Amino acid sequence: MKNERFYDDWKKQRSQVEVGHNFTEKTMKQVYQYEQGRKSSLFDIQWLVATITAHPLVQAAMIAVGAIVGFIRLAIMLHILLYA
Amino acid sequence: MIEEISIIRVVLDGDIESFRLLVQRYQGPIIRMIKNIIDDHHICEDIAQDVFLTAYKKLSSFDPDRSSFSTWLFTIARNKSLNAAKKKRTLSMSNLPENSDSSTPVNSLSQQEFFDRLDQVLKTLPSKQKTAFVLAEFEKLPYEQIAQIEGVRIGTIKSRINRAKKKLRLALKSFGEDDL
Repeated sequence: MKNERFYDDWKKQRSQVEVGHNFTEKTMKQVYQYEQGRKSSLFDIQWLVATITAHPLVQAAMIAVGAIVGFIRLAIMLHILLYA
Repeated sequence: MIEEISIIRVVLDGDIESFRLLVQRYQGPIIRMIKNIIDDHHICEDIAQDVFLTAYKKLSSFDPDRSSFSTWLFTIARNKSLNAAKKKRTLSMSNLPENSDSSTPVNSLSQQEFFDRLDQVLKTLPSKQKTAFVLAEFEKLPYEQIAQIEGVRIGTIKSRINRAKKKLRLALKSFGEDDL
């Protein structure tokens, strides 16, 4: 019984949490900094990746663009090989 | 309480300040979870900040049909915690420290010594058992949600938690009673 009581007390102790008084502010500051940086940069890789993974239509468009580019490249290579 | 989905929608529409509501709502549970997994008070708030920043960056990829926001956020926190723990090499399955000597009789151990021993056992649990145990015992999440966070079946989660509890029991057997 003693162990059981101690075990419950241990769980209670580990379930307590102290959040730093300015944690929210610090976090929001980082969010605003990120947003500012994103707006100032023309090409945000992370945003692009997030957008692509979030929307199936964008994924399909990217695949289509990749296929077209690949086909054009192949055509150019064949043209060079056959007619150069 | 404002619906999370509404908050997320507003944030995605450009109202960054509304993200503060989500931070305030989840900062306690997220910090507690990280603290219990990596066991380092100094860096757990830094990791928690990183969790929220990552959540903000990837907010557009959150799909409410696949999981709740809390599940999604806990999954990010779990991954960040495990990465941080790997870096610190605190998740090794090394032997228990010397103070877990099983010859110490139960009555001579104070509550603090008991806590220390449990802390040490928790520290040495394999990462998968530890995260499942922490989410179930300290965050009080249902098994179904933990299974989603861990990306495994409920049965696997039950088994991991049972194994973690068994290890805690085993380490405390020497206390004279085995009734966790």
